[in-house]
Amino acid sequence: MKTFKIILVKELKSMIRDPKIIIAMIIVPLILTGIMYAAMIGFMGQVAREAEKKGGSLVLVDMDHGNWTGTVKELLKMNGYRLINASSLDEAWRILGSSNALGALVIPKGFSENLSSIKPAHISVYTVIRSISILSFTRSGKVMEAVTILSKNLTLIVTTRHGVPKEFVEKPVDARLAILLKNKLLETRDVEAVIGGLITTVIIIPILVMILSGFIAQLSATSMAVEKEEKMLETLLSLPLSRTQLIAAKITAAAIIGFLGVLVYGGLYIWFFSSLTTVGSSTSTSVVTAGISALYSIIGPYTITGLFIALIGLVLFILGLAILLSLFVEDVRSAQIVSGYIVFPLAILVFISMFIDPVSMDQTTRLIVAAIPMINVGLIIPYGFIGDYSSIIVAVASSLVYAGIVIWFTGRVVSTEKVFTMRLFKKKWRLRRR
Amino acid sequence: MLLGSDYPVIVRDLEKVYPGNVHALKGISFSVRRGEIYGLIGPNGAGKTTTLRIIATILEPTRGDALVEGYSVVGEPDRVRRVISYLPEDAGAYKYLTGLEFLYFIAGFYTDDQDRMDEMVREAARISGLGDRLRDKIKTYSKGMLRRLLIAKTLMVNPRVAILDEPTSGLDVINATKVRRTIKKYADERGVTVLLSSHNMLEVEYLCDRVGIIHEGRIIAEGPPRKLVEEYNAENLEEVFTKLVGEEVV
Ligand SMILES: Nc1ncnc2c1ncn2[C@@H]1O[C@H](COP(=O)(O)OP(=O)(O)O)[C@@H](O)[C@H]1O
Ligand SMILES: [Mg+2]
Repeated sequence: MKTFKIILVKELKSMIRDPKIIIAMIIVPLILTGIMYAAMIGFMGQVAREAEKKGGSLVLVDMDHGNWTGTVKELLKMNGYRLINASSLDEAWRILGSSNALGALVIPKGFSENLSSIKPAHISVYTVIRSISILSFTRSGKVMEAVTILSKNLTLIVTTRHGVPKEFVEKPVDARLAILLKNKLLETRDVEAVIGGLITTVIIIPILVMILSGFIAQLSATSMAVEKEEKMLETLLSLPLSRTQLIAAKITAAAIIGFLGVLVYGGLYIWFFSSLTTVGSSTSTSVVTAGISALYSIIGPYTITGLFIALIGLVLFILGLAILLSLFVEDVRSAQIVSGYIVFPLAILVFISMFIDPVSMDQTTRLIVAAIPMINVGLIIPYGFIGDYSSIIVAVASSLVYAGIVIWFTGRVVSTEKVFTMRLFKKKWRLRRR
Repeated sequence: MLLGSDYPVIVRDLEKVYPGNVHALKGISFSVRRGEIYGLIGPNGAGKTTTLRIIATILEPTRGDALVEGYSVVGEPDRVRRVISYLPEDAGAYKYLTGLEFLYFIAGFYTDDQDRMDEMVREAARISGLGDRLRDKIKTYSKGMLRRLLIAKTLMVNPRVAILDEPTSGLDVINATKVRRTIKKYADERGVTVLLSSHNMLEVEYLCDRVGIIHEGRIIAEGPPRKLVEEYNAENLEEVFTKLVGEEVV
């Protein structure tokens, strides 16, 4: 363990003192989150406030002059709309062009008559799109909102006049919903949120793993290249040290720093998304949590344990691959590019796994797919859901086997002269042969 | 028959073929006596670094073997690593560590004993003459300081065989002289066996007890510098070399 300890301490010291790493781990995420925050909170906040802001100006053209138009004006004013009266369509458009009004409502002849005889009445709505921007679209949508408010209130007024109870008009059928998750019932009032929660779980786990392993792959790939850049590799290889421990220490150091980085990123993102929910309205965290716990109770501890082990295998697999490839490059920059080469295609595999539906496959196909690297890990939860435990075992085992193969192979390469002589990008040697 | 106890380094018929069919070494044999400074000299590309890398267990020979303190670099590289200390050509050090931290880092591989480690680092401080600058990050060192630090890290562990590849190349006259004196002084004091290489034939006359002249992967002459100069009726080693390879080098 001597080599391991010495190398680990050296790695951590060097990494912590290296401004490049500090920049990558703290400053870049801070800036990224800052920008996202400014964009989302600042801009989306503006949109949300705009959407929530009651009312706005509406141009109203009354061609009906009946007994109901007064009620219409009254209702609109009550809901915060400011009305600008126009006597003709031409005038309405002129006003729309020169003012900041949301749109125009035209009440045609016969409007009041229809309502009085309980027939559907018509109204023409004109909305303006002043620029191609989300803010402008939000404002346009608010004109239709005015119509919805009108319809609702007019229905209420008319039906209550005819003795229908208000509660009945508002909600004639009150649904209580329950989702049948495999064989467990989950009661809810918001199906969409629960399904959203489940989808998030299925998507978020692979994404988190990809971020984590991408981060660590990058660090471990560069940590071997650093030895070359610092011109220490040859010295290291001549020292009485264990090369397996050397690799292990490099992986550990990368993992420690990587986890710290993920904590920084994770912390920032959690803060970011929680501040989003305070601005927006839809995402209800409690429903998502309910979805996750429901999922947990269904797929059970075995699948979760399997997933956990498979994830460790996956991270080791990526790390081994990163170190292996980085042995053959000359400098830190190439190492970073190379770690990109592996993480990106692997990430695509994980994404593919999100779209595979194990129910539509037969048992043999499931077992075969369970042995494909990366996809196997992504499929563990779906397999757990349908209770295909043999496929889970294959997935977990194969993920460990792949990690083992890569690390064993890396160890082999490191203990031969290949670690020193092989080059991924061939440099021309001066040939002095006669 | 050469006895391992008298000859800490015995090289036998070393051949090295690099990928691309580059025959860097074409059968090199030589032996280094205990306590002597042996110099491999020859022009760039002659095969000096390749030879030293094989002895330092960085590369594997295509054919032949080298014994260091009786251990084969092919069969027992781990044992060889415990008795040598190697300074590669163009070596560096971790720039974010201080000189002291770097020395302790190296010392840690050779001993577990804290006192022994402190002793090694004190020795290194003496050899390098870097004084308080050892507390600064290596990033801030000049080329000459870095080389002195590296010479010190190589010698401080008191190896049975020190292997130095072009220890003075790239240094200015003052720094090169300092390094040469350090090596000579240390070898004399400690009786350490030193195997070094150089393309500077004049410096080895001062430094080495014996030299092997290497050219295109073969040793073409061997002996004490003074004797070689006499034998070939030359002014200095450079002339010896020119006479040996004839018209090829002008
Ligand atoms: N890794 C390598 N791959 C291919 N050829 C190499 C490699 N290293 C050295 N050589 C070639 O081997 C020969 C000897 O090189 P080297 O031992 O470095 O010479 P020296 O140290 O005497 O200058 C040269 O022709 C060089 O180009
Ligand atoms: Mg050389």
